[in-house]
Amino acid sequence: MLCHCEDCRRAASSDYVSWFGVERALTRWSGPRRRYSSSPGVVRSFCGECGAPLSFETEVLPEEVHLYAATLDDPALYVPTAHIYWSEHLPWIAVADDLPKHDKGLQEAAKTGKTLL
Amino acid sequence: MTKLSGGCMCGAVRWDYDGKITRKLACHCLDCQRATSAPFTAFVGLEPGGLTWRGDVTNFESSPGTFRGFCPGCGTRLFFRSEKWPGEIHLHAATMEDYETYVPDRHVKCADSPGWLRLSDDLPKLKGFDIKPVAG
Repeated sequence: MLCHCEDCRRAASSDYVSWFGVERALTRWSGPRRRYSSSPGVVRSFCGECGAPLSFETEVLPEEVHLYAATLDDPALYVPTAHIYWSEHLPWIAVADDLPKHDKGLQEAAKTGKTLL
Repeated sequence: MTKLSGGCMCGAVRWDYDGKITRKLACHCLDCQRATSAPFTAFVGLEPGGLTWRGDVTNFESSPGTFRGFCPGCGTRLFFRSEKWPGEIHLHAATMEDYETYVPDRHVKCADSPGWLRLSDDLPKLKGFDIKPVAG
């Protein structure tokens, strides 16, 4: 998914981010990862050596971790399925893809039982 | 002259600027993608002499003579600077206060863009990087 929320934009210092969700329990990490809680119940991590943003976790989705597509060894594996938090997208951003554009994100959807995928 | 200010997510690092804007671009190169974990990133180019920093910044040398600073507390990526370009420092526009009104004037290094990216803004989309650095 492509997330346009202000926190993701600030965390990646970019205009929006591309991420994919995987099972938290099956994700193994190595190296100097640091964590930062960017809002209540949300933990983001980054590499302590180079600063690259690595992950997003929310207690609303306790079985998932969201990883950034740009961190994949082979980023060509990645194809996004939707835009989320389109209501917060930067005014100059315009896209010509035909992906769904959801006003809000997964945390709100999870609270109401909605599926955005 | 333009006055700008900004900082990182956790507030430990702040910057203030008084000077001219040397360039406004969105970079799609692979190093910028890896540095931000995003498909591309908007920069605002500034004169180093007009910039004041507060707080600790970790400098990562992403290629020889090229440094990408970040806040060690929250990880916010702050800038790109290169010894090849002593007359400018490129701050990530997303670290600016009120950056929602900021618009870059071109995309560069679009040959490196992810295959799925379909932008339809009116900005020039350059395959390479055809603008000379500002002299130091």
